[in-house]
Amino acid sequence: MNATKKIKNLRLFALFVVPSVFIWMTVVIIPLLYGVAITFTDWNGLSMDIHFIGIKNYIAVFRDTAFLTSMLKTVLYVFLSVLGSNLIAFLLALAVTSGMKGQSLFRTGFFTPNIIGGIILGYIWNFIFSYAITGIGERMGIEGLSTSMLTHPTKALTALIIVTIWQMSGYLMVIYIAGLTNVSQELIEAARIDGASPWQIVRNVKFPLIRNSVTICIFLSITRTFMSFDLNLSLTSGGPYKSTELIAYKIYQTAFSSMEFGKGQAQALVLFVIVVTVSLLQVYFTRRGAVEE
Amino acid sequence: MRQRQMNKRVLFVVILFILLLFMIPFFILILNTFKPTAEFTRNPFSWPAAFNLDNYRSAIDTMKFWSAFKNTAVITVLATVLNTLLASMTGYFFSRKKWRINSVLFMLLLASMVAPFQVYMIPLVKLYGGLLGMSNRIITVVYVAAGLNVPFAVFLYHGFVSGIPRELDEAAEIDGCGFTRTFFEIIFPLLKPIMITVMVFVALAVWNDYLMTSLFMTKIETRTLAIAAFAFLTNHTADYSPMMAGLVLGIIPVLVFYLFGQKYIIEGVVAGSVKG
Repeated sequence: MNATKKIKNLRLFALFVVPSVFIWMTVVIIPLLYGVAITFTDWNGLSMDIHFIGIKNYIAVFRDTAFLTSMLKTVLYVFLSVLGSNLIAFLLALAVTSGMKGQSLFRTGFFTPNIIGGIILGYIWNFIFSYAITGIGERMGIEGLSTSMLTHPTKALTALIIVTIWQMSGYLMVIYIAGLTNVSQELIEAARIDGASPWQIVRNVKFPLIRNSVTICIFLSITRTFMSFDLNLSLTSGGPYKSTELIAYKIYQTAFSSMEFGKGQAQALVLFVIVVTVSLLQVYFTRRGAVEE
Repeated sequence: MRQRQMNKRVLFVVILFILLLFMIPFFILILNTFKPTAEFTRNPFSWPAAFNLDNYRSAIDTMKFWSAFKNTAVITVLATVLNTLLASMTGYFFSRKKWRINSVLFMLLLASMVAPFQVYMIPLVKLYGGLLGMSNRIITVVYVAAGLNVPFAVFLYHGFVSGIPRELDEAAEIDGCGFTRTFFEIIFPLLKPIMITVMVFVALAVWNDYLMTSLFMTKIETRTLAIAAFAFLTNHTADYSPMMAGLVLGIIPVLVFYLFGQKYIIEGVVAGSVKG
């Protein structure tokens, strides 16, 4: 490579790559590295008097029972939401791709909650839980429904899970539909001629062939629910009595309400490690035994 | 065969019923925006005695709807255009020039998508809001929003360009087009399908973002719709009906957008999910 060619390539690189990589570096990578550094200090975000305190923030995170409880609740929330939304999404996708009319109507309809921001969705459901459902309860004289689910610690978490499943199913369904439409029609027909029942076709033909979609959907739903913030804020605001503070909300509270930046950032990094570990394990286990396409 | 046709019809009705159930929260919401608060608390399911728009008028006033709408629109358009311009160039470059630094950068971009926003949220605010004093400026949110979506966009453009035959570039080169001109005059127009998908997807994410935007935009004049809705619903505790009208006002713009762009939004979900 001669010198002029080198300079030309360098100029092209500066024009095509540097701008986007620069923005990404300054918005994602530098804050990420800076964030790791903050966790080893006692910085409160305001004073210039910063001290290196080693891993004290991390020790504090693991000794903080409020954080551990919040983590445990988040795991429960993630598990139930992921299970529920994937099950519903898969069943809906199966039904919609079974050759019935109106596939695109259903896809568009069920996807709708995903175009609306979590803050607004949370408030809509807030009204539903606080007035509509209690209204039904009072009218029909059903004791269990007449007080709002949002005022009761475990029921409030259930409410959060219901809304999450409601929102996410439509999203995952779109991916499952895309997977199912790729399953060859001839294969299904062949199985049918051989006398396979509809359930056997789903279990032994369709399911193994869309294993990739399953992996993706579970991956997406795990990472999304671990980070759930908007819904948490507008539906329950962590209440009642801090009983529904999921981890992302907890981090936000620690950093921006209690002004403990070092500790909040340490919590965020713990979350990061957990999310990466869980999603890598999940991808590994769902991929194992997958049918090569 | 008859039996199967029948089954399909039953299944259709069942799914339609589920869809209606699924949509109930929206119906209840809209129904109650036409009633005064007293009528709503008495019976949230009743048909409005009269359809009046007072709640909407009051919501538009209190949440400063038009100012918030304008801010949201400006941020969304600028961030989406900036993101697409830069990311399409990079996606093209990475696809055509197989240099080691390019593949390393590409891998890093993809890897960074795994990091939850919370992991760099605090330092991000400290750097741009604190250190650089850039809070409450449209440009800050545009810059950050465009940057956060760079990996996703580069990934999709890279994938799409890889499917465009290199012979096209070579033919342009023989005709005397340089690399830059080839991109803007030959390749750029061909990117249209993926460009719509990327832009629609990024626009939706930017439009609906609450967390990041709220960390920078703290003044009433710089609020976006999501922040205005949030502020409206936390500040006024007794008058529910205007609040619900406020929520509907927050939904209408995206719903209009969805009506026209739904095909691309759904394509974006499928295209973006292939990365797994």
